Amino acid sequence: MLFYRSQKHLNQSVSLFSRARTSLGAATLSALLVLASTEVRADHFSDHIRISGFGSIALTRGGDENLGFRRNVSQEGEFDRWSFRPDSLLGVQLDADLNDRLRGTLQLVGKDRPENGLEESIEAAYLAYNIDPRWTLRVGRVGMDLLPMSEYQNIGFAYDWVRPPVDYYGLIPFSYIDGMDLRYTRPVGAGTLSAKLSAGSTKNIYESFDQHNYFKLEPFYGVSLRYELNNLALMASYARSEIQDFKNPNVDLLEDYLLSLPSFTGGSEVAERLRLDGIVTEYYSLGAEYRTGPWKATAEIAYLDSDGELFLPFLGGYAGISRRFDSVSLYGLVSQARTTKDAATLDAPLLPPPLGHYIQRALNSVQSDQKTLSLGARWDLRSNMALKMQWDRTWVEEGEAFLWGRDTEQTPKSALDTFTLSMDFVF
Amino acid sequence: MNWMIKAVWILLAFSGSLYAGDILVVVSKDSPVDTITKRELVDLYMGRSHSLPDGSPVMKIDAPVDSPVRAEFYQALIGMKVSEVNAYWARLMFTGRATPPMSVTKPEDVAGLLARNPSALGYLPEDSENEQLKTIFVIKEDQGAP
Repeated sequence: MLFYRSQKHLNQSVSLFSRARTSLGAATLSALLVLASTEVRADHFSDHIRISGFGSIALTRGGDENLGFRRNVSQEGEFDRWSFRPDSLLGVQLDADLNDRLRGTLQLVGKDRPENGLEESIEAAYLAYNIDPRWTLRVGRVGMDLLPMSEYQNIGFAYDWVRPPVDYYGLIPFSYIDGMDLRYTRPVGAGTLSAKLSAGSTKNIYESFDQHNYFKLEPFYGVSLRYELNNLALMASYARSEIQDFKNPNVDLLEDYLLSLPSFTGGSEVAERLRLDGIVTEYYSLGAEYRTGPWKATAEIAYLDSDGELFLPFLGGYAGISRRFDSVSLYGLVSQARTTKDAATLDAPLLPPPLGHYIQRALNSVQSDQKTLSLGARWDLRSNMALKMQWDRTWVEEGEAFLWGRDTEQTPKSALDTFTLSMDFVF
Repeated sequence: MNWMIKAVWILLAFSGSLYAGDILVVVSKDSPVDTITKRELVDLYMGRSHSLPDGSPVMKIDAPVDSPVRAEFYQALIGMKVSEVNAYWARLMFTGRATPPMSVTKPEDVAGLLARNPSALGYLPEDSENEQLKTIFVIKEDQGAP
């Protein structure tokens, strides 16, 4: 962390913000401008600016000839070869204390994404305002705790495992929303309780059969609670959103074709079923972390509810335990997750047969059922650097490999090993 | 191979070394604060609160990252190893939940910073008392983690 000290006030930048329109986009933009102008003229401002960062240099080998390993559904699979792509990343964060109560933060992260422009690389860009010691409001692009590790999944140094368990974190590749959140923190009993409300939207891309699928979650509302004692933390969260602007080149083509068929074939009803726009998704999660002496235990459970036939409800969880021997920790974890509804069955006998068959295969392709056992070690080499090694054995059920890169949905029942060697650091 | 084993042992021994002796939690003699509870201290250094109990802003100062006194401070305060503290702070910092204590590079910088900033709070080994500072809490040498 570098600390810059300087002389004058930030009034200019702050007025820049207050002039901006109140729309969320403008807020994000002005947060960026404030930070950009502060960075360029750091010498002239009194409050300090901190530049810090984090990263992982990770070599991963996973998958086989049918199933390609990926950390989450936004990536393409790696088919049984060593690669830096799935788990390596680099992040830089700029914090500027604009005054006693107002702070601007900008975080850029370079990592493997389906599209990698500036907009996608900005993982955080917000202004945080401390209303009083208990209330904090943030506006812009802010982190989101849909799952307990969501918000810091990019910061490998912050946890023992090489990555959050893929079985269900793999399904939710995003970790922020464009919008706002309001946090309330107060002491309760021997611990501290914090509650957070979030509202906004988020754009997403996932990759299936070498195609990009675009969708937006809008509106997105979330509430999360966290209770923390010195050696115990409990987390619970709920979120609700609607899928909008779903776009997949194949589904689009298919839809046009279905709508052009004579009405007796049932083409338009089938097209309606394939549509994801307007589908409500709800997320529930619980997490706990307990520390005693050199032992640490973690457990999480999460459920995603959805009515979409191309986006099935999902139940997942994991439990992990680590034992620290001075600067080395040995750990093990088990995780499991599956779609809880069977693929929808197409009942449209009057559709031309190859088409019906094709649609049924698309419906089948979003199923997932797998479990994983992981063993690994983390060695804190320095105060800001850790070396990690992990082995995962994942069992995937036949035809339910949504989380893997693949050419066809007809995948065999498989047992796959993933090996990862990772250097995680912060600066 | 032998030298590697030796190196590992030296590293392990070094990273485990603790400061022995009391730790004084100190502020500038001009600070309005005269006392602090262990709970308040924990909340400040673990990023759970951002101000003193009376609501006034505070500048937390940390001893050098790898110093024995820092290791002992966190061990006594909440039973965490330095490596755990570092990982914990990475989580808070990059999610914007809290700003970490300002870490100095040289042990002797702590006293100077404290003396110049009435809103600053820090900790020092017991033998480094100084008339510019006042002690508001003492972490006893034998005080274990809760």
